Amino acid sequence: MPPKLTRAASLLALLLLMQCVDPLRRNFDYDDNLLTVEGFITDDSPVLVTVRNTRSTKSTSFLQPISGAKVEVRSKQGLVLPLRETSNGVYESDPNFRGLAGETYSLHLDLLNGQKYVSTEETLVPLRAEASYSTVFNPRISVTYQNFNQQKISSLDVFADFNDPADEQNYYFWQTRLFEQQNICLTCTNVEYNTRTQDCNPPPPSPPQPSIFYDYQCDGDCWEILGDERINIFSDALINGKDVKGLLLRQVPFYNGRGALLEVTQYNLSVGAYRYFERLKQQVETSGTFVDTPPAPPVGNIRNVNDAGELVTGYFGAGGKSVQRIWLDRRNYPSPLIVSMLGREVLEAPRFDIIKVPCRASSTRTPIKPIGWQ
Amino acid sequence: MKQTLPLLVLFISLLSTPILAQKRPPGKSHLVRCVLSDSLTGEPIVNGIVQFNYNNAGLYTNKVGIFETFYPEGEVVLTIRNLGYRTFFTKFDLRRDTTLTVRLLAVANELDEVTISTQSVEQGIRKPLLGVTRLNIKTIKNLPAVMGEVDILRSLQLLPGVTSVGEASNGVNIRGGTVDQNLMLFDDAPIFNPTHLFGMFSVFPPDAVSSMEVYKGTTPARYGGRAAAVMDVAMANPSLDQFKVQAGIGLISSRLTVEMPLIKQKLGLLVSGRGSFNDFLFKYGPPAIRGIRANFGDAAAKLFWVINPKNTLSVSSYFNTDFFQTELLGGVDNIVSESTQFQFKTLNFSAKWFHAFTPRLDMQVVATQSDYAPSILLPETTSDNTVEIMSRVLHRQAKANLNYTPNDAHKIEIGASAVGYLLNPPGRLNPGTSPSVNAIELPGEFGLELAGHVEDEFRATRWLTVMAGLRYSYFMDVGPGSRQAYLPGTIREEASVTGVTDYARGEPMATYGGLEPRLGLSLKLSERASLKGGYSLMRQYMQVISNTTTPLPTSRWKTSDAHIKPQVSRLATLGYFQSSKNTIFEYSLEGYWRETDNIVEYKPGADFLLRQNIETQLLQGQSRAYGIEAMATKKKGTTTGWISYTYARVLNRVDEGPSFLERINNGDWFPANFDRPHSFNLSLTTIPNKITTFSATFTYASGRPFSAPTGVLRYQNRSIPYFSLRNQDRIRDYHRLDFSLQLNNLTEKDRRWQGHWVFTLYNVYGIDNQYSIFFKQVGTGFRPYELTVFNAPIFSVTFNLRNMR
Repeated sequence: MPPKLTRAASLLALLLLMQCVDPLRRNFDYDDNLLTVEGFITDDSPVLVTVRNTRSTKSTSFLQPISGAKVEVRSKQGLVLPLRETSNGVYESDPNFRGLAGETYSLHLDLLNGQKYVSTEETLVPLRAEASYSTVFNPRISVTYQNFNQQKISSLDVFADFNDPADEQNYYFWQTRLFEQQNICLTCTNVEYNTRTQDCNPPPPSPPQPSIFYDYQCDGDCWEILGDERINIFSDALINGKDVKGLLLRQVPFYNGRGALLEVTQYNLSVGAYRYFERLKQQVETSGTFVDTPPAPPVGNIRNVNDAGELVTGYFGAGGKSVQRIWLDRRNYPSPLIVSMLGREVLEAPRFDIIKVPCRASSTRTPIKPIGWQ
Repeated sequence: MKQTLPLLVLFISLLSTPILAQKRPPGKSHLVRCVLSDSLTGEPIVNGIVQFNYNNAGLYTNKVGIFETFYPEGEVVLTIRNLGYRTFFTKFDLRRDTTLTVRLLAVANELDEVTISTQSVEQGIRKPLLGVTRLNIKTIKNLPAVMGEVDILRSLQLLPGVTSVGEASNGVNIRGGTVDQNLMLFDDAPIFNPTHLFGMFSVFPPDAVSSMEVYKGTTPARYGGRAAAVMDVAMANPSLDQFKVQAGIGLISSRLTVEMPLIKQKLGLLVSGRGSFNDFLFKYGPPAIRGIRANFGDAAAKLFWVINPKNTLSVSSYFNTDFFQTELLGGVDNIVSESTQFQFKTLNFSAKWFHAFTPRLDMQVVATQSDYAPSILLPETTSDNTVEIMSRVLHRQAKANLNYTPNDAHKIEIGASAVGYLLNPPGRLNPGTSPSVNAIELPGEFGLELAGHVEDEFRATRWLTVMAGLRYSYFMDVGPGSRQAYLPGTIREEASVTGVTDYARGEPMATYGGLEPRLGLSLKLSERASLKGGYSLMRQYMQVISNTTTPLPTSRWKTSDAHIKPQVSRLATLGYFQSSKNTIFEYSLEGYWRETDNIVEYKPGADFLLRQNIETQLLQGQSRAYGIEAMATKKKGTTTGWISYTYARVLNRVDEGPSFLERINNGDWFPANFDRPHSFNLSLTTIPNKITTFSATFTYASGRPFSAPTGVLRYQNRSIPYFSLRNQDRIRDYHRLDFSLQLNNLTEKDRRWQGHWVFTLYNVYGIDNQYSIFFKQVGTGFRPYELTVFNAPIFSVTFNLRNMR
């Protein structure tokens, strides 16, 4: 193409959709006190319910686990299953309990403040269309890191294929957890690590610009657990009874050139639960153009018995479940773009080889080798 | 009706002039003879309008630019005008037979840009209609246009009371009305989607448009079916005596218009087309936009036949098409596709027969059909197949009007109309050869609207003119179909269905109707000042169902049914008008208050796609809009233009029950998407010499509302913004300055072709106006982003050409 025409073309292209998406520096004045109850009863695992309060004020929010609540699952057949608080705000059933296919369950909560909550009834429908998964190498995707840096990186795209049964409405939901080997267990910003307090030193009065990072190695094996960045739901409203091929679930970036483990949990949802996750998805998966569905409170199926106007988020669902673990081998791909989980090079702290920081177990990190790790 | 006025005038002229000219009427009358010609070329002006004493009925000059009539002795104010010429006024005492030789100045050559006006000068004081705006296409063509595309809707937004949600807006909002509450007519046939490329350009081919009238206040009784305003765009009539060609080449689109007299003075044809075919260039652009495809086109044709002096017939057709593909717009959930394409087609027909019984009584019969078919195309990732989601709106109307002018004091109109609404299908999923998608077809919706109206515009006293109209409309939702019943006192949702009633073909499923009074009063305070008031009630039986900032071309239309009640809007207006002594300046101050019942809002998290029983996703409520509009216009001189300020609010309230699914913002009043309290517009056009026209427009408006998070929600280990309120925050205020320079090539006036260049600079100082603020997941948190559109100056050039002989 002659240079003149190229110039004209890029001019036109620039003109016709001269639009720009930029991060916005603006704080929002929050003022909400929100109860979130999440739980799922399946035929494959015990019941786990979390009860939390999110208090948002000014432009920050605090997560407060709600302890001391009386939490029960009741079935239509008369079963009353009390849940025991195993950690702050986390309530679990007997580890041997499994939900029964076809049975209808509801959740009942009595909080210490006297408020009573109840969920709608959910029937446990077993999973009938278990998906199979495949991966495709994607040479370049764009990833936004926690520090808002955008980086180009290669990825393995994970797709689901399944055959939807024809005789019923099906609502699918996937949750994935990515296990990545973690070498850096702590990063201190502008200060060094204090072995005595086992934490970073307090921040200096006048922090340098730009900030200086000190990365510290893990003491022993450590795995980072990365949750979903998107909500994967699918309804067969438009495809009932047909085969679904190539549904993208997750893009796994090349944080290193070795391997990673993806744990994929597939659930069967009720229509109510599906609508809840659909609303949740609409909160953040938007593009800003006018085709966006406007955000709406993701209120689930839990109601305050005494106050119909209180909005409670979260969902108590029932359904079949299946877990698959996929080993993602990143070797043998032609010149992939690799960027570490930090989004930058490791910046070795002074005494990098000597000071090692323990890998503390949490919902995002584990020192225990995950099942299926190769 | 406004379009029929010239015709009415024509026929009075054709019928009565020969008689009058030949026979001197009894009483003291004198012959008035006028020879009308173009001041520059000296050519006679055919069909120039001549009016006596501001009377609506007037005369037309004949083929050689001459008219003759007898007129009673006394003081005479003569107004002579023709489209594209500066209007000529003269006042004299008619004591003897008089001959005037008038050479009209062509606006293109000289001065006077009187063309956007709240009222034309001579009507401004007396006419009882409030809030009528007439836009001449010539004025619109002089205004700076984005990328050089002349655009009626964008120009309209420079007027007080007309706003939109922003740059990409599929229509305009007039005095608190939603986009679909405007009745938008193109040669009497309604337009269901007024813009190309998601609001970028309006669908009216500029060379096929002669004028546009906007009724934002009192609406004449002949209009109905929509709750807010009327935009009546007239297609130009072909020239009956001259072959004319106009063409234009622009950055975005190219245009061609041909007018052909098929039988001189009898039959003419106008064909106009516009198309944009430049999108192949995108693939050479930056990677981010390589996936974009955007093409549009429109074509209009009109056949105008003067059968005899008593009858004319015009038949017109309008077609438009639009295709847009981008990854920037979201896909359709649950269908695995590689991209999303939006496409729509409009095909309209209208036929108009005009018959004059006597000079004082005439009739107009109109038949129209609008066929609008939008679709979403989803090319499948795994095959060459494309899945299509489409819908189709078919609107057919037949109407007849009788206009009777018994004397100078009364102008009476009686009319009847029937509209058939056919949504067949309201939604269809066509899987093509896809093995993984099912065919879905929603049952058709049929509606019938019958209406009758009567209206009299009369002079009650010397100081008071009244327009009193009454319309009655009746709507029937007609079978075949089925209706779900819901448990009383519960939320309308699938779980509360108690039964389904089936209706046979032709059986009424729901009926609505009522009177629609229209009233306009004009109180003449002095020769140059008047006070006007008005009241209108309008009913709307078909609406667009949308939960997006502005309706999409593919948004679903829905006729009223047993669950979705028709929207009813009541508008009261009051205004003060004054013109300066020499009628150079005109000032107006108008206030309005509108209440609308049964506005359609969506439930939190509603989903409309291919959904049957859509009432489960909708809520109905009230809307309240009010505002004050101040405007000053300079109508004559080298520099013309206007300046306006508007304060306007639009608030909605939805409260169908105590549950959060039945109410919005706790049942309190909340601002509508297009509530922009302050707006300021400035438009100036200066024609310093014969070859240069320079225009500048400046616009400012308060930022539109958006929903900001009221808190944070934790899901898994992620923070997600939580929105419990709708539209409680605002984006930044909007402002923009545009320039346009038109250079006419007049050096050789005998040339066969005349060309002119239009240079446009849009957004002169490159302000990055926000279109929206939205929230995206970043890692386990989220952050706000802003979307800006046209955030740098945009320069464009258009070359236009037309034949002169």
